[in-house]
Amino acid sequence: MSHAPTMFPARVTSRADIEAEISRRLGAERARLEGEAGLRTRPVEHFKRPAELPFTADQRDRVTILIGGLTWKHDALIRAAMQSAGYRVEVMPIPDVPAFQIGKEYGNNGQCNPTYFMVGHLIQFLQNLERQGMSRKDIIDRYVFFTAGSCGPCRFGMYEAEYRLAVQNAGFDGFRILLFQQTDGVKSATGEPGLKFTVDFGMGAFAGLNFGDVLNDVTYQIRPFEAQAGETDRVVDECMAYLGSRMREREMYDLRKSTSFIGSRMAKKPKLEGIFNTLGKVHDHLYGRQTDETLRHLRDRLATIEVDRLRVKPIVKVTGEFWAQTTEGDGNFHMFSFLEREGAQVIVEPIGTWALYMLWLAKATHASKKGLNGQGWKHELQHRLKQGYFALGRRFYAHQYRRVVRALGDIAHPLISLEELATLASPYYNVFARGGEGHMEVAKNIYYTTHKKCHMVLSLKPFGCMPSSQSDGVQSAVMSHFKDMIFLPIETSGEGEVNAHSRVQMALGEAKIKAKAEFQQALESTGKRLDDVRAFVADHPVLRNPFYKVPHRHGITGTAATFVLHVSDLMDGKARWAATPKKTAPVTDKAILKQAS
Amino acid sequence: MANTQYLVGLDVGSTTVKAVAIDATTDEMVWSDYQRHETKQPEKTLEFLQRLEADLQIGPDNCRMFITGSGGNTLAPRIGAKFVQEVTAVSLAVEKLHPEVNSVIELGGQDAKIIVFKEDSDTGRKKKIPSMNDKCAGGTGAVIDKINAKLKIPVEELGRQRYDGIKLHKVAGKCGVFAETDINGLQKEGTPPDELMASLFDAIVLQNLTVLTRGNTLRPHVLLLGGPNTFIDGMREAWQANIPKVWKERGIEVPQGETPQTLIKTPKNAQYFAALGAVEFGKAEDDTVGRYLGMTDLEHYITVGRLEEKAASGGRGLSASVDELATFKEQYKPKRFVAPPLPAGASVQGFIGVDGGSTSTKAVLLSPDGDVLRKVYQLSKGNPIQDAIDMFTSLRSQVEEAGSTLEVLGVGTTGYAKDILRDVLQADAALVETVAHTESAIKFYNDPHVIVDVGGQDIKLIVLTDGRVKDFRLNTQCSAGNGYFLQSTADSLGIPLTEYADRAFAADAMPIFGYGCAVFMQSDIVNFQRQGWAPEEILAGLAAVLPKNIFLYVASIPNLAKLGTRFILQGGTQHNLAAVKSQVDFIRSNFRGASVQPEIIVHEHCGESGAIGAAVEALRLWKNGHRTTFIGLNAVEKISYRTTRNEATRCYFCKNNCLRTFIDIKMNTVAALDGSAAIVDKPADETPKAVAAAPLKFVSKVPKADDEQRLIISTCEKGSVEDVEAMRTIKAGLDSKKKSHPNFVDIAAREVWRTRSPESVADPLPKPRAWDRAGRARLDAMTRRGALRIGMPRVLNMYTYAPFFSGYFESLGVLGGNLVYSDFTTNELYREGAGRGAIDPCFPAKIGIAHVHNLLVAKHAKKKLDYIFFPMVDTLHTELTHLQGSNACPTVTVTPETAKAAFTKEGDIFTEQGLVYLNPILNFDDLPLLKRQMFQTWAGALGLSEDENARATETGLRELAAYEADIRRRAREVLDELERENRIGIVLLARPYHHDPGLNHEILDEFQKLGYPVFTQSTLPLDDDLLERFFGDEVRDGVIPGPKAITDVWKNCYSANTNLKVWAAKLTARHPNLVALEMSSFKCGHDAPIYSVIESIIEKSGTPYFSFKDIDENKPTGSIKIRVETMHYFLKRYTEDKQRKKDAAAAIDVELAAYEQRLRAELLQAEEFAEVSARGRETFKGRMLPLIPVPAQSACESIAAD
Repeated sequence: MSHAPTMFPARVTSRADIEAEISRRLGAERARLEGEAGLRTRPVEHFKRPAELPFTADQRDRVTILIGGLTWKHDALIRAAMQSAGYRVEVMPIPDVPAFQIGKEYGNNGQCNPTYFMVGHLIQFLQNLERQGMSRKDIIDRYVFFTAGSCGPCRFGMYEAEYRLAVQNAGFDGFRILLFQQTDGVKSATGEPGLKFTVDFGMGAFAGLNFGDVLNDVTYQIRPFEAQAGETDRVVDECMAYLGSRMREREMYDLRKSTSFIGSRMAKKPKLEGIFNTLGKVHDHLYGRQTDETLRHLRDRLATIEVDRLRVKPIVKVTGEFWAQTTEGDGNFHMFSFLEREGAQVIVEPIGTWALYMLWLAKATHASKKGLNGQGWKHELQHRLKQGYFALGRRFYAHQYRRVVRALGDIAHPLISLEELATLASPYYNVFARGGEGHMEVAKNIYYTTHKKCHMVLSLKPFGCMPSSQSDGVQSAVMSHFKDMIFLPIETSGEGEVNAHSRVQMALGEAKIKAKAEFQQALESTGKRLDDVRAFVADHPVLRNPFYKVPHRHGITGTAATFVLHVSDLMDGKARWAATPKKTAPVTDKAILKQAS
Repeated sequence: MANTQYLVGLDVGSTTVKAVAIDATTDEMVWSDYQRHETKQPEKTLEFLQRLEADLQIGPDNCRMFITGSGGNTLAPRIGAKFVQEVTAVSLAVEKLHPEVNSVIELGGQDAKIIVFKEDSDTGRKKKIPSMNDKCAGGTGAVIDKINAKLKIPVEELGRQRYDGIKLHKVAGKCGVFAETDINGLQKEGTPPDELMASLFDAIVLQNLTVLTRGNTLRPHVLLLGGPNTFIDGMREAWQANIPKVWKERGIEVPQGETPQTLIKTPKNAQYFAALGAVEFGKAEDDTVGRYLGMTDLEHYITVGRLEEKAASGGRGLSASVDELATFKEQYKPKRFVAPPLPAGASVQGFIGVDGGSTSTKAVLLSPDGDVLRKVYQLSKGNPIQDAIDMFTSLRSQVEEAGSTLEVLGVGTTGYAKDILRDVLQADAALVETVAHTESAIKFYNDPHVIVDVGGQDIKLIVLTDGRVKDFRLNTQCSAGNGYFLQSTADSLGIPLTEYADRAFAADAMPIFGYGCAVFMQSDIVNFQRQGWAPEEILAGLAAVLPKNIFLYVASIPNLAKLGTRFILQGGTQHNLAAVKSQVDFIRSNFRGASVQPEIIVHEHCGESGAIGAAVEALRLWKNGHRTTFIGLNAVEKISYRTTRNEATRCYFCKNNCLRTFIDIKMNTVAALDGSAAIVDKPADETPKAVAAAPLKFVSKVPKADDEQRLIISTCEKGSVEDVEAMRTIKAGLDSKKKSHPNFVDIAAREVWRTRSPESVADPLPKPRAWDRAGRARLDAMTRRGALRIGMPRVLNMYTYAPFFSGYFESLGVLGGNLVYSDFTTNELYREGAGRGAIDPCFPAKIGIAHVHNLLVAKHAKKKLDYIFFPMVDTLHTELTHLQGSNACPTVTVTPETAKAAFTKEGDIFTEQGLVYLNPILNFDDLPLLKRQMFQTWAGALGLSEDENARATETGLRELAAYEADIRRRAREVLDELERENRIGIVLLARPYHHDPGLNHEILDEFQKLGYPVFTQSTLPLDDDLLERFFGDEVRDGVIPGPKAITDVWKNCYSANTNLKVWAAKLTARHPNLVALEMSSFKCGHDAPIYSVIESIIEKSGTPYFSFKDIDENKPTGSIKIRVETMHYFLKRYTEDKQRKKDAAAAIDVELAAYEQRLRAELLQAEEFAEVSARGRETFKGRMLPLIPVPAQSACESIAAD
């Protein structure tokens, strides 16, 4: 092997120069020899996760925020709330099976079903944009997707990474996936965050969730009994368009514009202005004229739907994993519409329950650690204060929810007490085993059965949902202990809709028999013929008003059974006529109405 | 029902139509029939209606109709019938006709249903708990149909087929295709059809009892419904034999005077139950519901509507246009193999490769230049040795027909029979299939990335990086469509296989098959025929679904661009151009690379590619100087052998009691002919694990002649001999190898359960005697602790925390021997206890119930336990830093709750057994909370004070830390040794509970036997110097906040074991002597999101990465064997390469040292010279300095001498 020719340095000045020269030449010689021996390879670069690009305030005007994943009503209302705060927002359509397939293509293997749907859903949307002619660079620059974040325990907390991997695999490298953290608010890597929590935005989103929950519940209570097929959907669509535009165009409270004596004074005091402006905004969102007027209009419009409550229908409470019990498409085999087609009345789960669960969990976890960080009155006081904050938060949420329920006809179900659910679940499922779906599914099954609020509980659990699947393991014992319970878990896997529907039909058959028997028994107990009851209802239009509040009967579940007993009492003069919300003066804002229509 | 004269119930099932007509007045059955519809549901239903109209004059004015069954929903609106869900219908009929029944088992053509009735004592109503099979055909009548198609038992005889008194064999009931595989094997051994069918009944019953009951007990009376239960005596007997075993185990009392035959029965009119139930349902409906509309609409549907339905549901044919097809055919027209001429009268030297596949055998003859001279293919005749003999004969005759003689320079074997063939033929190499296919692809095509090998039974997808197998997928868990399936369908449709492609291309449209289960695809074919799809359209549809089965079902890799750009299609099925086109189209349409198009090549010898790979290996060895050990062509033709596989060959050297195959070869004939030694010793690392020569003198249960050499095919080394002494020698060898290559998976799995014997931290006893109440209570408590026996399941996070619990309990006075763990997970343990499970989570969680069962029935029954302690570990301790959290997986956390539910749903078995079940939630990342949780759990039972509980908790954690430190110290020693010796160690990237041998299927033992030490993510050393060496720079550069942080690679770091896996992957990627083996369980929710992260971490560094994902309860022995052999092959190459590089680097170092010496001398001389010059210039300032030449060599020498 030959060496490179030795070259004397042009000028050697010191021993250090010599050492440097030796080192240089040895290095060069080593490189040559290693190259010849095939040992010279690129230096190893270790894997690093992709950098996250931020969404900053200066991009707000040109960047569209993508949201989705709840019911179409919730999504539309959240969008309206964000638009009212000045954001460009777009709602992605309800995920379907093609989205699921795309999710499987681009994500890791072995994900849970909602991950595939949601990840594929986003990519499908981006691909559609590209198909419409937008360049990838433009899509990446002009859109950002916001998703909820979490820190365990199931893989929901890892969704963020899954979205990133999938968009990268699909060729949208650098597309921004940002977290709407459940605990930390909106995160952004640098600068002022693009999405910022303001009071108006926060209260708007809060109202959007509540309005969405209650409207959803009301719709599912009215539609199975509508006298004219399709009327409910038509009216609800109108209502949603109206509500959306009212939220979007909402005039925000501003202390400085206040004409009241106190308001104008406070506006001049810089130290107090912020506080009072905030309080004013909160008050205006919750109790202001605009909110009241909007809800009243919705109620009046819904009240025009005529219902026939003498239709005997089994009531099915739908529970399960958060997304599977919420989505209204392929993600749960269109279960809600299927159940209604099959003759059931559905009780849907409000998102509010989840909000209360988060508050309850924080409170209960805090309570379980009482005294661990120190003893004495100071710790005791701190402990009680914090417990008080949690309790206050829970009460506030539940109270506001009740207000919306009352404003929208007072027929929607109130939020369930999470404390009661925890008590019911405890013998079967440790309430501190996190995940939410776990103990709540067990508890709701017991709650709705023992309170006779439904004939059947249907739990929608996506393939791969860990807490939900485990709760199913416990439900087998629950079912054994509550003999009259009809409970059906359905695994939603994205495929096999016919099979799933068949299983539901199987359990629903049972529930129908139960509902029919109950109705028959109720009718017989009145001693009246059904035709006579029908005739009486026909003569009294108020009984066909969807907001006519039929008094609850202890131990009776079905709507028709409860109704027939009440009508019988009315016929016999044993009961008072229940109140129906009075119709109010129509909203005068013609521009809004026009826009809504 | 004023004008309703008849209530008609129709049951349109997957194979039959059943109908009953009930007189509405008398409630009597006045008409009934049951007929197979031979895939023509609407036609048969119409025929029934015509007869009903003719016989009873039914019409819209006098008849209401209720329809059920899988075909009912579609037909209902066409005839005015009301659809009734099948289980509802059956339940109503059962309630009416057999009110005493508590359980119903209905086996249908494509479904299996179980209905459990539970009476509500308050209401008197019976609640029904139904369960049905899902998307899998396992345990249904379809499996019987499929197997009987093979066994060809006539229908009448099948009906009389018995179960009682028939010898049973092990047959998989979970899947019809696996059952077929088992039955194929048994059939080849000559097992009679009646034994096979009875074994299948047994498998179906066990499958349904363990899976479909969802943990419920089938209480008497049990009603058996559905075709197989009704018409096959043996099916009925199988239930009657197996259900009472469950009753006995679960303490269900059998009413006096009753027998299994009276309690488990098929009722009269069993076939009509669903139809009768539909009528029962109708009785409760309004009189307007189910009004019969007549046949007009149904007739219209049969003639017109169905075709429209077909058109709407189907897809376009395999090609978009005639031109597109022509272009495809032009591009993929198979290159006809033209055998090169051989020199007449001369000797032809060559290398033979033999591929002993499952359905066919292939062989090639390669020239010393690597050219294919001759090749031969034949369908397997059932014995690989005979097939191989035929191959050699054929190759030889092909050469001799050309007037040449054949000289074999080397022989390589591959395929499932490679080891047998190697030993019989004394071949030079036995190459695992994956490697053979890879070698073949590499030989013909530059840098292939993906090899798609579709053979008769197997689908293999081999993914390559730099010519090395990175990963491969094999359809071991499910058959999911393969070459054989295409072939058998073409056969059944009467189309020759050679015409498959042309016929399929001729179809303009085709039905869309759902990919996946082959049994269901079979039933799809039936449905499509019913809809009127023509045979060629069905063939096109099947070809189109093949790539979905390959890429989506078997491989689960939908985004093909991830794999690479060059795809090579191999395997016999690629001769079928229709299958090729669908694969080409699928790959192209699913290729998501931004701008690159995939290159898809069909191997020009696709059917023989495996054989070519084997021959290439023989050629390589020859070029390396190896000379063949092949017994010779004459000897091959004279091989005489016999195989035995029966009870006499069963191995009893361990509890598995595997059945082995003995092959006795007449060796003297072979030796005499060629004069070569019959069996020669192989180099140590080439000795096959499963095949070895048995000592001749041993007296076997299977008689053997003296001139016969016996080969024993067994599943492990110990079974490769018959003599216990020989086995001991083998075992001693294995033990010695184990010792020198420690397997920390195995070490951790054994040592974690050892008692820790810590010092007592219990409160002191009163001295000298207890006079007061408190003192006496203390004494009592301590006495109680000394006698207390606590059972703990050997599962899940107990694999991490057993030392903690040992430290905790023992330090409080509980005797180490009284801490009782359930047995290690075995298939038997799982089977015995799993029947109570109601859900199907990951296998590690599923075995929780079985372990509690084991504690109850094995441990507690033997010696009373006071408690079963199965804590719910919610958060884990961790050594890592900068994490979001340290949570356990929720499935794992809650498993103790599901286990509790399983044993308390039908009575509280714990209470009945006199013990207490404790499953508190525990948080190991929060010491104060942990202390409280332990105190709340054990204060009463152990009579604890808060202080001693706190001390015991701390002791437990200390013991845990000591255990972990000790095992890490030993791992460090081995790691250092690896570095010193430049060897390779494998890091198992898996959760600590994968140490469970029942979970990891002892795969790591196989690597240990091959000479690789095995580390695990939880036993990797954490010494500071090691961390500094591998992470120090990154910490200083601010890439990571600390050496034990993973923020640079994984953001959502809240799952403890996931975090640890990521960190261990980082260390493995940086350590020069470690390679990664990732293992995770099917349905692992916390592993799935980091699959790509782990892969990226390892592969980016150039470190070999292999994986066993989706590990489940079934031990995929074939797949494990192939994987281990493949990995070993490439690791050997990797090690050789490392050693070569190390040697080269050492040589370079030596050379550089010499160079440095010379260089230094030269430069110093130059410096000296410069100094002298400078001094001279100084001295003779302004004057002329004379130049004095200095010889360089002498200066060097003088410097060196100094």
